[in-house]
Amino acid sequence: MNTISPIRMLVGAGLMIACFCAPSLAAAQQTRADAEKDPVLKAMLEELDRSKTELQLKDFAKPFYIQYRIEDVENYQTKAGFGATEGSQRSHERVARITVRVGDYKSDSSGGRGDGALQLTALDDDPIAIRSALWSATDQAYKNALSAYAQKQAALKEVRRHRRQTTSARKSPSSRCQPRSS
Amino acid sequence: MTEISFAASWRPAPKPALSPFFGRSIQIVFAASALVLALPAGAQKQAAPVLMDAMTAELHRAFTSLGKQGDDKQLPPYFLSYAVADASAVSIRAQYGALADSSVNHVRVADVQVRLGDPKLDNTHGTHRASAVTTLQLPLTDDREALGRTLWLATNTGYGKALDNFLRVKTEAEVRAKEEDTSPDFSQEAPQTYFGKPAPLVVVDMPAWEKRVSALSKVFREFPDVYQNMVMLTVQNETDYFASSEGSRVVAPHLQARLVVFAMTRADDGMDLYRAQTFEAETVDGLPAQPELEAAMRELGKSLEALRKAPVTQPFDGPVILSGRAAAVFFHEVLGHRLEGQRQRGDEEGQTFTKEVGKEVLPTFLSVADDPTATKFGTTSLSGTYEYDDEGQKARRVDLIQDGVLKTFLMSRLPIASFGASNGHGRASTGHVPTGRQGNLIVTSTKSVPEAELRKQLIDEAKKQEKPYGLYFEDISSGFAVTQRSSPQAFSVVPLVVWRVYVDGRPDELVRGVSIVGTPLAAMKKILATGDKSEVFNGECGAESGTILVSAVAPAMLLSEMETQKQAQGIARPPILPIPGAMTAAPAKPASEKEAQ
Repeated sequence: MNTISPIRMLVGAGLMIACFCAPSLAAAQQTRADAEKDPVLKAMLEELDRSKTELQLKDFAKPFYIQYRIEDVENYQTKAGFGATEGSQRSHERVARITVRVGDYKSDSSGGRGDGALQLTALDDDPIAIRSALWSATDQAYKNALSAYAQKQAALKEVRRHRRQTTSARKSPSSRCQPRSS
Repeated sequence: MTEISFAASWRPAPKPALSPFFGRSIQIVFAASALVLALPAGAQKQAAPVLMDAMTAELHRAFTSLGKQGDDKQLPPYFLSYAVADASAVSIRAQYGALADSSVNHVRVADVQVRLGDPKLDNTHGTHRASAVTTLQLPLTDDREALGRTLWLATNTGYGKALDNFLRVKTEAEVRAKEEDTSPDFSQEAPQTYFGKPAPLVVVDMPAWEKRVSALSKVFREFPDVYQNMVMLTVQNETDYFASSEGSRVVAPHLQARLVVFAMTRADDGMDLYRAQTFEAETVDGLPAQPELEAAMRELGKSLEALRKAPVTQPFDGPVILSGRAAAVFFHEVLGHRLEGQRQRGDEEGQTFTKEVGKEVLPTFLSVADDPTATKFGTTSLSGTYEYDDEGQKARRVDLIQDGVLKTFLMSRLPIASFGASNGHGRASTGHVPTGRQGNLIVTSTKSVPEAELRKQLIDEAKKQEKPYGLYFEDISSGFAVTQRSSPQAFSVVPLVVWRVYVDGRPDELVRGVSIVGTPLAAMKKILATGDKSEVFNGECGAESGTILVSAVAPAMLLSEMETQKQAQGIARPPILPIPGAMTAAPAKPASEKEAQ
């Protein structure tokens, strides 16, 4: 019997922001200055603002909700078998997860789990590179959302609905900034 | 259906679990004892490393005891080999002008090969070929006991797998009709001994190279329509250890530094367009200087911006010139894969060239060799270079086609009806059984003319065929070939940069959306002449025995006829908003406005 025993250590820090294209946004802006002290959050907010105001395909709906989440993950793994090391691995990556919804809170483009888009983004806080990754994934997520929304609307027209449930719950924006783990 | 692909490879390196970096690993091998005297004296004086000692000891113990002890004797193996790839690597990747990943790694992976029965019929017969290999990760320290126990575990697993498969092979042999090719399953070869100096761990100035790679990626910010880019440096120092029950003992180092660039744009009609370029050297210091690399990035960026504005070409059937790089990919796909030995046997293979040995398969002015012993062509490093193949055979130049006449195939230790021995081309990545594969495929010509003359001949040929233009294929990304009977015996290569060369003297016109399609025998016979300069394509080649590094070298070629079809394309629009970096340079209009115009 082999005795390989993996040891895994994971250090992660997550940054998440979301925009609600609704009047309640004013509450979040009180702490925006704090958020912008972090270069990654600053880049995320800048790209989010741009997407919020400009992202629209002609003759189609604008997104009513956009969410950016960047997970900064450092991973260390080492492995040994029969009393000797088989090596170790250290990795550091930032994974951006982007969610874009079109429609409204009552009925939107969301489907099952896994909606949205993923991108690896810059490790060195370069704002243009971080925003480029977000831009690319936002574009993809928005186009997918438009397509999903159209399909969903078509499917809904084919069934008779007795009761309509909202697909998104409206929440107030919140802002919390903590120092990054080092 | 099995597809064989060949690409410059822009894929990020797979994380090494059992497969060491970059999807490749030339494990390797031995040198015939008869050749020992011919080896460099320095190489022979190297002491056997601890790892090799541990391999040899465990191999001897397993081979002399498995199936030979106890009361319930099982069948003993007739062949046992250990191939260990010890790979130290660095990988640095940047995209959108900033660092995205940087890692250092070191891993040892062992492939244990067990063969039961006899060379005529063993557990690897037919579709059971993969049953020969069991793969496990080995300790990195020179701890004999830990190394021995890991090898013992892998050998035990492999032995069980081999017993099971041999039983099935024997049953299947009884119930099936006689095979067309009754060659044995394993060729007889002389054991080899070679102790090269193990490769040192990779040492790279990480902060400096992280800056350099990021700076190269940043060049693409000058090109707002280049929507994606990736620059990746991989440096790998690998030592391949091989020991077999036949007595082979080989330690062969292999060093390679590789910079891969990939950049992509999308035309307004949804067609994705990309360019890729690679730079190779033995060590990282041998890569081109930063200004030269930055200039190359700039050229790729310019080329993509021009391509996205180029018109889409219509299907075409007429004369073409393939540049040296394009011809190299063409030969790798169209000819090279069909000359792999194992494709000449087996019920499912198309066997295009099996019965063509001694016959003319190319115009008589063309010759084709595969030479893994060549390390450079001019000043360009060749990727498909190795000293010993993955079955322990010494690498050697093989003249496949001489003056148009087919002479032999790329042979591993799997014999075929016409050839019973290996010629040093048994290659695989970790975890696979080696098969005949290409190394450095080199096409030469005795009917070469300067490129200006070749262009004139293209125009003359187009006039003769009453075509308004001929096509010039400047660059090709990749391709695939299908060699199995269940599908059409076809190939396809994807050109990246194609020009129309008009017969009426108009300037050449860049076009996009072309792919070359055809059947191999017909295509090869339409080569009329070649240019006088050869070019190199370094890439990764994927097939049944895994992904390996290869090169192809060829001069430009004029073909009297080639058929092109419209390239399959995406239908997604270009990004709606301009790329962020572009806004600081020049405020761009949202694409929604562009759409309205």
